[in-house]
Amino acid sequence: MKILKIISLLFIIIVLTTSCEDETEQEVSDLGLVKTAVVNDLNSDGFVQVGETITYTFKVTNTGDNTISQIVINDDRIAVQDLSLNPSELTPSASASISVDYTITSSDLTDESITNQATVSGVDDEGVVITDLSDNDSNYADNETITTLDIVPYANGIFILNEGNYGSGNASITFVKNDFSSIEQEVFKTVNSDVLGDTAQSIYLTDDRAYIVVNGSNKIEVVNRYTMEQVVTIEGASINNPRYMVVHNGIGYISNWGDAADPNDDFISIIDLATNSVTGIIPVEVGPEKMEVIGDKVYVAMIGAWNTNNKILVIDTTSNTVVSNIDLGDNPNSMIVDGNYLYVVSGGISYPISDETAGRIDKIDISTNTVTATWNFNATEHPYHLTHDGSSFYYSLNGGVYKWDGIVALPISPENGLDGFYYGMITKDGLLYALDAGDYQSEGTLKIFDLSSNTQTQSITTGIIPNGVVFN
Amino acid sequence: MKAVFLIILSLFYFSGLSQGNDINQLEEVHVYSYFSPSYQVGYSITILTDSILKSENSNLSQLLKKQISAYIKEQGSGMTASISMRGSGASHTAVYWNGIPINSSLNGQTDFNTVFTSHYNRISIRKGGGSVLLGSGAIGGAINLENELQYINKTKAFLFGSIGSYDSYSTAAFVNHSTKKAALQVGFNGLSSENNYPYSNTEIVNENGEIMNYSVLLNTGFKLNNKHNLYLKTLFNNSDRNTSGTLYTTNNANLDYTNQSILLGWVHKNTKSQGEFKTAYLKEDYKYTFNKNIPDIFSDNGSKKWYTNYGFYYNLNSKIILHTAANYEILKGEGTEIEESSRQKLSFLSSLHHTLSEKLQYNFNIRKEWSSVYKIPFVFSFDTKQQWYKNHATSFNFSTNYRIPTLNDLYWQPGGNPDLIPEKSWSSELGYEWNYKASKFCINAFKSHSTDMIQWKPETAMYWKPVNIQSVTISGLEFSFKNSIIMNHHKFTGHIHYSYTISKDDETQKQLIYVPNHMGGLLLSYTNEKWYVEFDEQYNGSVYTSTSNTKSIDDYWLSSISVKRNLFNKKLSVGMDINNIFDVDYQIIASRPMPKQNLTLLINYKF
Repeated sequence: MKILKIISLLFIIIVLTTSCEDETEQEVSDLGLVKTAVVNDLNSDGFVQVGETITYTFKVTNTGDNTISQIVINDDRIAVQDLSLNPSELTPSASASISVDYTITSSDLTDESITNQATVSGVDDEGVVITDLSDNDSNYADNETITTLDIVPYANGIFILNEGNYGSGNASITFVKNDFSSIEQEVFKTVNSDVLGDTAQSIYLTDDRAYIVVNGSNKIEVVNRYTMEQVVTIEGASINNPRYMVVHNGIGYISNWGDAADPNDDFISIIDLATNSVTGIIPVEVGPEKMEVIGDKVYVAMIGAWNTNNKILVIDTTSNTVVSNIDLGDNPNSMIVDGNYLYVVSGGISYPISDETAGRIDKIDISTNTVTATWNFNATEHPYHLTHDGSSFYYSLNGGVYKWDGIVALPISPENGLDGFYYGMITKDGLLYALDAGDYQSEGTLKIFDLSSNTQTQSITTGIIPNGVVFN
Repeated sequence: MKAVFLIILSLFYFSGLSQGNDINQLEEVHVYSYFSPSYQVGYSITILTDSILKSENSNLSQLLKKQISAYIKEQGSGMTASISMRGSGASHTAVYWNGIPINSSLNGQTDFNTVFTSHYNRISIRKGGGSVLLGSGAIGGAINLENELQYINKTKAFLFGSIGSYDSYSTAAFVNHSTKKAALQVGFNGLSSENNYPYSNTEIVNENGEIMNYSVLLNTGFKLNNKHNLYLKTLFNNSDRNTSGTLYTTNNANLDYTNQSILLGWVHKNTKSQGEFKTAYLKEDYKYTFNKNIPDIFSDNGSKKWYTNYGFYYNLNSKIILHTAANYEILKGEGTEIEESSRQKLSFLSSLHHTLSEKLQYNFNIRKEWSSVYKIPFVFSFDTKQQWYKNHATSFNFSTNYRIPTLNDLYWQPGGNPDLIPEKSWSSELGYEWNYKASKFCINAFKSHSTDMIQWKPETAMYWKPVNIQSVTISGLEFSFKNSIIMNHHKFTGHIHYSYTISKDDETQKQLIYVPNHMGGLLLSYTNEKWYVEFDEQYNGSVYTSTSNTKSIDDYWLSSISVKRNLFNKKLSVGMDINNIFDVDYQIIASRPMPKQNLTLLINYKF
């Protein structure tokens, strides 16, 4: 019993003396770093876009017993290097915060999140460097910060417009991510629980919207280009057999063929995009098709609808009147602006055989609106789908894709490896996006070719009768 | 149209109520014919006669859906309609008017919504390949619309009027007057409808769907003596329809289709032989106005056909009938999309009908046809039927068949391809039949293979062109059971049928679009002295709308009921049809909703 008392006493003495030693002899230098991240939805659309920012706030607390000075913060992931805290000296228990804005990049959106950890460092009064890794809410834990980016569903990818069969109401839109990690069919229907409509002819993108021209249904579906959510439907008597759309200064121009039977009722509708209402129409000759905005003019290729036509009309957007027309080959079907010139492919009349005319390409000087050069095809050749990849022109003819420099004579033979009867095609960044409608009664295919080697790199199933691609 | 309807209606009041005899079902006359079950023993043939044909003012679509569960593809209610018989395409059922082929020379089809069935005394439906006897296009089957002239000293008339939903009015009159020496038939049919039914779950109605069809026939015949008779049959038919929009498109177009047929025939009979000479002139015209408000812009194409046929039957002995026929045809086509074109055809066929015993019969037929445009293959067929003891019978047929390209396929601008060749096909069938009193059960298995089938393919971005490219294998099974029970004055009949069809493209191994796997139907009726009640249930299986078989239209069940009250000794009946009684929302073609529950009130007078 006595022994037990002695041991207990001894234990108490040891404990007391030890704690006394700590209190009196050891002073600690320590820092705590808490990092918080707030995503700034600058356009208030509920999603993160490239160019929007994340505000990171670093709160540094002196958790030790000594004053710490020369406090700096580093966070490589968001390019924060030796950021000085203000004030850069903290007495024990004191704290200070500093914020930085990080601008979101496209690769961040691809990753769909940002993971980072900052380091704070300072020097105590004895010259010892003190550091701490950041945490989300604690001065003592060290967890990385993971900021999930609420990305828009339909950014960083392409929309494929699928025209569908006339009368069947099966037009649709396919979305493909740029890295091909996902392919989503019928996105309009998925988001809006409604059918897109009948015979979707074309799609035009503005900053935040997509205008889908639904030819058979005589309407323009206006959607948020990143969410596909329907904003409004533009329809009425001034949208009749609509084909294509362009936008200049907040005003939309839509080419319309009018009634199938009437070659004299074709027009361009003028839409105020602020109100999505038709503010007027410009009556034109038969068959206005694709358009290009150049300066304050709209160049309209007159393909001729169910008849034939052979010119470009130039509309002055300040007066909304036709100020000039430029005679070309028959049925101009596609055009490309290259510097001060507009290149136009006219398909020629492919039927009836007795009236067949040759296709041709015209080069128009935009400053004078005159044709400065013409390249003629053979009598039975009908080219389509002129596109430009930044250095060369490409067009489609008789199941081949031809490459042309825009200067010398037209090529004699098509490019090896690119063959196909494409319903639409476009080049971008060294790639050819070619749309194969197959048998026109089932899913088509988007074929992507690398133009440096003319090899096919992707084959993507689309909806029915894909006719165009836009890059979102 | 309303005026005509009222005139016809008033006829009911002024008609005498005294004349005798109910209109009889035509007695089954055993004359050698390409549509006679007594002679075409290895084929399934359904014959519909006056008791069915003169009870409603149906079109051929409605009749065949109800009677044989046919799959009819309608481009919207009342619009252009075609049949798929045994999984085959729209131009693979050959339609005949009194033995003369009437499928359009332009598109190879008959529009089943423009054929008024009360015009005819007998409509025969023959399933399976029959090109040897029937010529081009009889691949999936053939239908004959027949006006039979009888020399029996009798006057019969049929008057019909109806008012239905969506401002629909229909009227029919048919008078058949004959002596021992002469016969006359006069018929009129009319149908008009606003056809503006609402599409369910939307605010859209079926716009631009107005229909105005009418048809007139005049047939006359003279029995010169016991051996010879002459006849003249004429038909004029006009169908003026706007072409309705869809759920997602509007339409302003109008299709005005006219055909005229004149047939002159001479029949001579001996004790052992019979010959028939026929010569016919057929004219058709399709006028398509893109916008009915702009009448001067249209597409207008037509054809004229002179058709001459001589067929001869000879009873070699009590067991063998020999038949031979020659056929010459001149066809001319012309229009805004078809350059003036003409072609001629000449064909010969020979046929042996042999009764080996009371229980075993067979036919062997061969045909060769020449055309001024392309080579037509030699075709042959064989069919047989064996009666087994106690009401059982089995049958078999095998045939080779063909279909020549249409004028549109050959000459349409743009795209028409003059280098096309005929489609070729073989088909075969095995059948079993059981008969007991008023019950009949049939089951048939069929298979066919078609090659060089014509398909329009995109030629350039601007137009399509037909090519001989597709081959299709079809196999299937169909059964039917019929029964009727008579108890005192009560008669119950029931008819149930079902078919399962696989129709696959050889290359893709996918089911053809708009060919259902499953079709079925049930028709029940009860009748007594005063009442007639009929219940009809049709099942249409799901059909694919994309060739990849990824998209489809749902299947549906459609029920209708018809109640009629007989008055004045069954001469007069008044009644009501309720169609689609359960208000089913259905589509035959994608994005073209069909009418929901609708009503027809009708009055029918026969003497």
